[in-house]
Amino acid sequence: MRPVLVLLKKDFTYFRRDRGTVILTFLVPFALMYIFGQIFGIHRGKGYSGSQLIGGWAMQFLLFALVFSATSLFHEKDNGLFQRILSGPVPRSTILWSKFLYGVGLGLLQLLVLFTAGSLLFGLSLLPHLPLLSLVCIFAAAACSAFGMLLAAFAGTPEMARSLATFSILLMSALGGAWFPVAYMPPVMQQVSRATLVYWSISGFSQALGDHASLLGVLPTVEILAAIAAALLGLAWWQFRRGTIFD
Amino acid sequence: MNHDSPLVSFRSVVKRFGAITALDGVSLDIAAGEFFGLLGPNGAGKSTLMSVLAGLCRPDAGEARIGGLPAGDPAARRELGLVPQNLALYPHLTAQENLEVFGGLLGLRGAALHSRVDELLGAIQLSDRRDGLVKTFSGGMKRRLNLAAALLHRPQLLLCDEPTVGVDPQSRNAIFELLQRLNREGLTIIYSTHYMEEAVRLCSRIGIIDHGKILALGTVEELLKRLPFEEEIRFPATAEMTELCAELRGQGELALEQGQHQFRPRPGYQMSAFYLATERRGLPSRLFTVQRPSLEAVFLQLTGKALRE
Repeated sequence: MRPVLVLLKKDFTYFRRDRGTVILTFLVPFALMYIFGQIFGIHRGKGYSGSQLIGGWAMQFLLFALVFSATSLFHEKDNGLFQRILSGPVPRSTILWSKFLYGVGLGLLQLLVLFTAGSLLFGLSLLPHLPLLSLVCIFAAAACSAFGMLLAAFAGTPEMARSLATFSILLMSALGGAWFPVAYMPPVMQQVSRATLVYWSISGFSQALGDHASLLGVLPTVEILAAIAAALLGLAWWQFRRGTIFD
Repeated sequence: MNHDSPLVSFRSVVKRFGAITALDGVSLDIAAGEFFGLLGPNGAGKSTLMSVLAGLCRPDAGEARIGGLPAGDPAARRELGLVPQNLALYPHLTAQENLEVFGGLLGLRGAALHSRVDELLGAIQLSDRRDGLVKTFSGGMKRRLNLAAALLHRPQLLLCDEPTVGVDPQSRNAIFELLQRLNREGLTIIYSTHYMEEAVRLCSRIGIIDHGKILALGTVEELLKRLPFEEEIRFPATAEMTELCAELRGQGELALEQGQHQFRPRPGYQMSAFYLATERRGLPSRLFTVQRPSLEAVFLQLTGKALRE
């Protein structure tokens, strides 16, 4: 476990020092959240709409951030860092676990920061719902982190990963209700929407922030997000073992 | 670890990457405390040999061992330090942070880690730059830090894969002095390079490798004894040398390299005959440099090509 923590600390130090990434992770989604809040006329006290708007934009930018984080595996490989690390007593799984957990940690931080900002902008009642919201955020971040790992595993190069990411994240965001409520879509598309992790994440946020929020209420959604994370991560690891990222 | 046998042994190691045979039946023993050089051109198999020993790739045939343990065994890896050919450093971390990350991954922690980091930063003369981001360092500074990161856990065996590529002479000397000191203190070092001068300066024994095979093995003197000549005469390739060259052609090897002739007399050729030939043609002696042959000549004899293309 200690090597995983060492690598996690390294990744968070990198993040802290990269102003561009910090801006993209927090400020840009906040700005877009504010603009679209004005466009859609999110009113103070309308908790459902506010949670969807905040959650939608946060999820989209979180997915981009975590795909780029996962593709850093390619840069570390090219720089010989894997050679150094793997010539020591550290197994390959340590590197993968640290990338995944970094994604979960960063995702949780981003989501909570944006929800806090959103609660100030749109009057969301956040504090009483914080434990449930945090639980949903952890599993939403896990699903996003696993998605980033999956893309990196199958892409083969960072350029291909970025191309795949742009297409798949924009599609998932549109279908999943990140840009506008799923209820606006035709019934068939509403069913398709349920195949995206964005849909389940936004649903979870709404459930956690709703007036009658409860652990039993959010648990089914959390379980679905956990299953998505486990499936994507399992597939990613299977592909990493077959691939050449560590060669 | 078994202390009675060689520290490192390769037995008929074969490694292929697709159609390319990177290692072709390499067998080699390296004793504890040796400073062993692997000399060969780019693509000879030096890095692949290091990768097999470091457990980064498995051989397709044969085996490599460190202290009797299979290469790649976790206990063997704990005794090994690798200085990769790439600068395997995190550019957005400081020198100190880099060493702390790698030390943490090697199992060091707390006061022991900090003290070891301080010691190594002093040894590589980067104590005053410990808080500098690595991306701001010169190539020489990065190479020194690259070396230090492999020494954190005091390994028994150090693998250096061309550790001075692109380095200024001052940093190169600093790296050489550190490695020589560590070797005197008992560290076994395997040092790969395509610079003959480095191998001659540092290594007690050298293996010449090309196309995945060890072509020759021994001390510098033993390798030079393989040559059919004991001296090499260099002189400029100018028009006035044309007649002399015509006379020398039957008396040994005559090669042209970088605007200079290199004459390697056959066994039995008398140097007095050479000086008479130059005097007859009124060629001043200052134009001719007589020196001992180099490993470059050994490599040429073994492979038919120059060590550096």
